[in-house]
Amino acid sequence: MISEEELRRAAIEWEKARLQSLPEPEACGNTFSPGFERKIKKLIQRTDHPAKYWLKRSLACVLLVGLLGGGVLTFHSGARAAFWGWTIEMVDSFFTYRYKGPSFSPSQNVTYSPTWTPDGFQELSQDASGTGKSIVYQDQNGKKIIFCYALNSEGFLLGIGSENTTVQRTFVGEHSADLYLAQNEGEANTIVWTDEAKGYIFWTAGLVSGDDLIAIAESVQSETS
Amino acid sequence: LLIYLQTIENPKDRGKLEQLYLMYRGFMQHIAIGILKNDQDAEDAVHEAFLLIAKNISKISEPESSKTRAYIWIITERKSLDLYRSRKRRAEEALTEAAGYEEPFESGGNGLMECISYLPDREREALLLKYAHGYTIQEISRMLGISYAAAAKLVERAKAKLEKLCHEEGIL
Repeated sequence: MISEEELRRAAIEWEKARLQSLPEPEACGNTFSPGFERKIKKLIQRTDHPAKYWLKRSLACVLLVGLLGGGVLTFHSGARAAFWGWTIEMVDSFFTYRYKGPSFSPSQNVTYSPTWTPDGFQELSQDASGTGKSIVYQDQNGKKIIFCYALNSEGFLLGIGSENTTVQRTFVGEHSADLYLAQNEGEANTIVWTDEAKGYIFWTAGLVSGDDLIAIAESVQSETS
Repeated sequence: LLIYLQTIENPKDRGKLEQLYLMYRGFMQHIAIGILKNDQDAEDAVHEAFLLIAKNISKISEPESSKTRAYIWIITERKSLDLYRSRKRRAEEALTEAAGYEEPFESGGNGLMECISYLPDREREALLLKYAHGYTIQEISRMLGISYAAAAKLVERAKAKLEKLCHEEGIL
């Protein structure tokens, strides 16, 4: 019987010897194609600067649909409620929000932001366009909360990872909302809600409790500049 | 979104993938070409490896360390061998474990280390992640992109095969 300690020592030694048989990383040149470099650059952006990447992508989608739509449609709200709106489906391992219906036009000079965040959180950065906005808050320990919204638009997708996550139906004011609670410590919780009248989907996420997320969501108010 | 947010919770994670890429891309290409013997296939394998590394970026604490180098080697080897086998399958050729991997390696250590060399690569990788790196089965499953049950089975099989090899070699 091999003891766990013997196994550990042998594995470490074996790996050390194996690595010694390989060239040092600094000694290896590379001949990757430009196409490969582009793919990796995108992956790096998505991984190293996810909030920026996600927002850029989502806002670009919204903007594109807005441009292609060529104008704003007005419809009877009852009909809209019956046939249009947000649907949620599982795509791979993501709860995916998809909007079906006419694209909304952004309300001129109106933006939304939370008026409450948990103690110690300060605004770190924000990024906005006419069709959406994201605000990142951070506390002294580097913990972050992100608040985002985007205009209802076909072609816009919001994906929430479902792995090790439980979902609770809740309310943000009068709007129904989905609260995604991560089961693993150190993973962010998320709340998603939509406001059909204003034509926006909102979401906020961070390493804070579900109650805090609901409180942040309920504090969101519009500002007119 | 959860995955994306998870990766930004720790500010130290920012820029890490870029650092890893700049530091290890040539090393990864060397490993992949050694197995696949083809530049385009090697690019595909390195890309797959980077996708897996990006998913597990929070597990990497020090980009410039032997632990990280070992992890990158394991993942690149895994993705290269997977690609090699899928190409071979397509050509309807018979497969054997570690086929195509022509970089000879003598561990040069004691009997137990030599027996580790004889393990099929997939099982050896799981064994190394568990015992040399101290990862849990859950972490190994995420790092290799396989299910929890498959990861647990790989580690158990590796241990059982190792025991058997050691008996055959008269080490135990």
